Amino acid sequence: MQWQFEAIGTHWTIDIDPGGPNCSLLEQKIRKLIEEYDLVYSRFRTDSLIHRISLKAGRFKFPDSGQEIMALYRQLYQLTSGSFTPLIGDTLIGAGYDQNYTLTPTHLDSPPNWEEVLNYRHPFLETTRPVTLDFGAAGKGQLIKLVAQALTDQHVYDFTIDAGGDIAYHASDGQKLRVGLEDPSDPTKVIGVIELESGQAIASSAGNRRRWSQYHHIIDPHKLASPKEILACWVIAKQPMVADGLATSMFLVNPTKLLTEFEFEYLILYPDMQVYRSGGFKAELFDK
Amino acid sequence: MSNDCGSSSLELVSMLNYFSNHQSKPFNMSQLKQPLTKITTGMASGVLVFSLAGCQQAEPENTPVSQAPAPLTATDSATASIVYADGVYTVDGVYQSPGGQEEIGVTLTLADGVITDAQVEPRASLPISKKMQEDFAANYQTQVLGQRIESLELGKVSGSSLTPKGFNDALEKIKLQAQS
Repeated sequence: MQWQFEAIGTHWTIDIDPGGPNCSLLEQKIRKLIEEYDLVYSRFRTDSLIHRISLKAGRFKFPDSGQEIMALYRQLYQLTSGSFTPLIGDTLIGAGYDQNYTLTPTHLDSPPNWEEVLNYRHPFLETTRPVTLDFGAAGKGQLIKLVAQALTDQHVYDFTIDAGGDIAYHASDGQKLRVGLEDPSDPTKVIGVIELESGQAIASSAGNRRRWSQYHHIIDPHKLASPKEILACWVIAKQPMVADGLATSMFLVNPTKLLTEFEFEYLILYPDMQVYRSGGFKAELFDK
Repeated sequence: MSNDCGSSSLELVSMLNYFSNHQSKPFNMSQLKQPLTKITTGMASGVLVFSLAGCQQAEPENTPVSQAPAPLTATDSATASIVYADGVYTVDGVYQSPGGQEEIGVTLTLADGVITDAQVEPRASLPISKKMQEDFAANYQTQVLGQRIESLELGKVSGSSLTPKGFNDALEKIKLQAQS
């Protein structure tokens, strides 16, 4: 059974094995879950919580998911000395990556320090002034995790969730999934293949897709520029939200820093097509 | 590893990066296929630069020797390679990593133009996790080349190929505006 749909700005493919009689009910449940998530965390719609937070200071109630994602952002914020921050939203907007996709840079400001603006005590966020928060670096990963949880809650234990190339995989027989690592310069090709194990998630980040002017979708707040040293990276971790957040963080700091607090495997692809990978990233790479 | 310049520079990078993660462990340089020649000491705030003895430098002057996480900046194309007498040398090095500049101290023992021993003193202030020390086995590919998906049996492809439709539409609009 395969579901395909657009959500949170990307294409989702969910494979479920086997498709049971309650499949369409389950699909509706999942799509509702995703829509509810988007309604909270999207900065691209005017009816979201994030949009309300961008209008004026106040006290805002987050859903249950807020606890985990705010904790991850806080951890990565401290680990990256502020390079990874949810406060990057206004900077992205200054660069042109706004609700209307004007993609024309106007003026970029460095984001404020976390402590200056945000105080999160679950489930409440207090802000001292209007700010545009952006959870794009890990939100998709968290949503993948929530979908996986919804499936296992319904006793579905064999599935592959693919949200725009970020994948979570479960197989009750322990069989591995062959995942190609997409060549950033050519979507019909892959630079290698990794065998994903059941219970693993893989996330990918590349700097050559959402790009405009001199920017792409990751902006280093300390340099107000998009990192160009890395072309793409892949992260494998148990948790999809962690994999997603780390894949973005790899553009901002040395992986050794991230390894002090997280368990993951990674592969970095450089613009000249050289590759650097961790010892446990067991992929077959192609050179001809 | 093959016998060409690119892979030898990567072996060096591999060595340096290995050390920066493993806190000073002797590395038997005889494992390297090419002898290395130090061309600058860079004592104070130097940049570690190595050229490869007997290796044609085909890269242009301002191409970095390698762009792996511990790349070396080639400040000099290999016109003058100085071969140092046998002995022990100390070099303070800096290298560029994705997260910024990292410092290491390197002590090299040279014999017959070959580094027979190298000790690296990492200067990073981060604790090195045990997992990194156990699992670290850098695997370099000098150049990966994409293979067509149809030629492989894949369950899935991981990449960021699918950008939001709104984004692509905006890019198209801008392109058209630029052309008018």
